[in-house]
Amino acid sequence: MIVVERIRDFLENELKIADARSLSPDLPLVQNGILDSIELLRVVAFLETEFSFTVADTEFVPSNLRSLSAMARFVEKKRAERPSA
Amino acid sequence: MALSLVHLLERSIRTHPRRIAVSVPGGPALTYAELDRASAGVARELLARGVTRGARVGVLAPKSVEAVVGVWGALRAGAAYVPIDRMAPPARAAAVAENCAMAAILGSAETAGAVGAVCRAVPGIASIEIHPALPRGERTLPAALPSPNVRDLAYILYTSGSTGVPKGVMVSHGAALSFAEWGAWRFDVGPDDVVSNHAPLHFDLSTFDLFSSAAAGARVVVIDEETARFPMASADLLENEGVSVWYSVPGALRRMLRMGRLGDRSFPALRTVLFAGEAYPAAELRDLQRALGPGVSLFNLYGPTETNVCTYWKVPPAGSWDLAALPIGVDCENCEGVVVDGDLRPLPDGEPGELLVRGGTLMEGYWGDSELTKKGFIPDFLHPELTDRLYRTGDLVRRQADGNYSFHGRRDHQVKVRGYRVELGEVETALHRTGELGDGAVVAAEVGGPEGRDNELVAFLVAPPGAAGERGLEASLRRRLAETLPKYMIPGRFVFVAALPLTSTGKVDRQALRAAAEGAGKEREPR
Repeated sequence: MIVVERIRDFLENELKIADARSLSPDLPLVQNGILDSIELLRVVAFLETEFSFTVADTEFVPSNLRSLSAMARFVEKKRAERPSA
Repeated sequence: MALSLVHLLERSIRTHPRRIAVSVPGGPALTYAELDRASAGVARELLARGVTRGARVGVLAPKSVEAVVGVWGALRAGAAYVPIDRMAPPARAAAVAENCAMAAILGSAETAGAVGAVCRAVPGIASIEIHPALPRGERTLPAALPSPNVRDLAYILYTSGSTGVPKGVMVSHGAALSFAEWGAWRFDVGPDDVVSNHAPLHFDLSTFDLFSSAAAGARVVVIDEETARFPMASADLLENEGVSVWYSVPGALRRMLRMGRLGDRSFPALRTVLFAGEAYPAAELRDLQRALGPGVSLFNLYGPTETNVCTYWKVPPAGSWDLAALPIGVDCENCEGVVVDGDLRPLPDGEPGELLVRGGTLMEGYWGDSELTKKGFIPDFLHPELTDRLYRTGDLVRRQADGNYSFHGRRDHQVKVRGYRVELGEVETALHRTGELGDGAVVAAEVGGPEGRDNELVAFLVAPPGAAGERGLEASLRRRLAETLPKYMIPGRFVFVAALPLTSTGKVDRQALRAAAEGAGKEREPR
């Protein structure tokens, strides 16, 4: 859940989305106009820096980024893929 | 030729009843015969609920087959449809409904909440949910549907208004037809074509998708909001749905090229790509052209909502052009432009001036605002024997000797942000209405963003005496703006200053503000 909270922080503080705190984790963000195309790019750039991985174009798809919970699952998957140091 | 948009549809229903008229990828599809029954059902329901010819009917639904059925249902009831941006705040939707005295709203299960909010804010609006699959209409009356004529309004599109309220651009069946038939003819749309519908319905690009397709008996593929914003998903659709004619803002194509692997795919069905709404960076357009190959023709279309498309430029074959900026092209065959100076005197080729347009696609005027309508038009002084009108676009252009126009900005405070048209005055009015400000002005600054250079709105604000901290004030202003303005109209940056700079004549020095905003604009690395 901590991942979802960090994304909420970003939405609230950087993208200035006023109701970021109360967004339901499963709400489709793009489909419902919470994120527009440019903001979606900024969220992906944030995930890359914040969680130290790169998002391939083939991963820039609705199933990974549709909602807060989809983003969190994607982050966990990317972390699991990373070879442990 | 046809008498009205309804007439166009009815012709294709008769000629191509079994062809697909509208579909969504992986979702429902309706043939022309099915679209006939579904839209007639909606029309009869509207009539049964008291909607009369000329009434305004809102469409507030996600991009879907239902939404298209709703548009045709409203038109077949003899009403003008008014698409409502479902991403806009409820207060804005209610303002639109109230402004045009909407009689009914067509919605869907997904937008029931938003429709309910509008109906509560503006009493007396009938709310109807669109179910295209249900065989409707048999029980209702009357049997015959009204047949609109060329002078009846087909739709009203609301755009940013400089005085602080959105303004409703009224388009008649005659004007809508002039564009739809021109589009079908110019781009040779036929019954075998599959036309994309990328734009939302409240954006005038969608009128080509819906109506030129209907004119041709072609199929329109409706792209939902999510697919439209994920480049890989849009590119998958372009490849897999057999799209032959694509139309969108440049941004969508640029993202598909950069992140949708267009160069690695093949598009055997694709033959024409149209774009409009903002300038396409020339170097990127050359990359797109190479990726799509020589079998695809590209066109840059231009025109404000008030004229729909009025000029077009066919992109020359790859390798044969190296322009730094694209022209907006030559007059459409159903329009004529004239470039004038500040005293409305025609200028010779090569001289920069305002573009005036006459022709078949011109709007009737702004809903409920005869003053603004009067300002938008002047009598056609070139043809004094006619009672024709010229629309003042407010765009500064130059006509070259070959008839192509080049674009050189605006003569007022209208700007484009991510392809959306924004009147800075509307944003400023909304800021002042909060009552939380000493003074303020909004400028569009060209800054580096994730997509390359684009306009960003920057608000310069003077806090009132005794105001709490700037952070708190900014947060409060953002909250208040979000109640009435769509996202793209809310400034990206708020800059607090002691006083606004003034010119020697005492006006706010917008040039100085823009220079300050561009100087301070932090560059973001393009992805």
